[in-house]
Amino acid sequence: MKHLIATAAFTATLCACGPMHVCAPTETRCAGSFVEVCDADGRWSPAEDCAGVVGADEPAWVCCAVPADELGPAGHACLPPDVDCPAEEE
Amino acid sequence: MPIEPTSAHVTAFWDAMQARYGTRIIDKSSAAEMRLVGWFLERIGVLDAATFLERFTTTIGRRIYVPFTPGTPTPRHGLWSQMVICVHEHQHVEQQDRDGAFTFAFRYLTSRAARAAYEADAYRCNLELHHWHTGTIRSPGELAERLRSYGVREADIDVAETTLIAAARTVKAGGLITPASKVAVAWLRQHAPELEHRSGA
Repeated sequence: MKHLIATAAFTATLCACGPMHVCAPTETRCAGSFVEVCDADGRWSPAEDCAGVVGADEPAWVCCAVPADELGPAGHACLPPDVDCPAEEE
Repeated sequence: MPIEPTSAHVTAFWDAMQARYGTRIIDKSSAAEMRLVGWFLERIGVLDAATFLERFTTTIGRRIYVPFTPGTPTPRHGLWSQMVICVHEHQHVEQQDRDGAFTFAFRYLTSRAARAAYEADAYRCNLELHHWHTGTIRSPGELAERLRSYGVREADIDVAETTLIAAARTVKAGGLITPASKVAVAWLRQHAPELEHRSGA
């Protein structure tokens, strides 16, 4: 019983601290077929589903890391399946 | 130079989108509920009532309150702009269908991050339609700046810009992301192909 109460108290303490910031706002990443963007509250949020992108190529589009260009800094985007999508370093 | 749509294009396009989504348009300036919303927004200091009524299109459920008559150009709302607004607003309808009308309304009104995310998603339509029409990419930063009128935080605008940069790269590669733009472009290719930048017309 004591163990149960202690566990409940610990959980409640954790919850009382609110959502944990897990990423830096405006950071991006690939998560499966999704491009995710870190929101202003520090939480990952799906921004674009590459599997749903329609283009000239029939095969599904893929999430890729992209370098900085005239549109903005380096990040991630859905691109056609035939592009050279570099592997990301962990 | 891209070909400008005619009034007939615009009215046919709005009619087709309304038929597809089951929406209807209402003259914003004569809608009592919009005057009330404008008064409220002015009272809480978000923006003045006249600006809200004259410049912003508002979608609630399947009612789209427009500050212009589709097919009649005004200095603020040209014909192509009216077509883009049509797609943007129907993307909000898509969001309501996806998330549920209650959840959409609750999150839009109570969370600045969610409101910015919903608008950034709808502004992707502006990117997509502009690219289809002109072959060029609108500045993600300029589109994100428009969110200043929506009572969101600076950090939310930064996140919206990041979202729009990702979308711009996809659109530049020839992709269509949003469901409303897919519906719109399918209709435009069938009924107004001369408006596409690569039509050679």
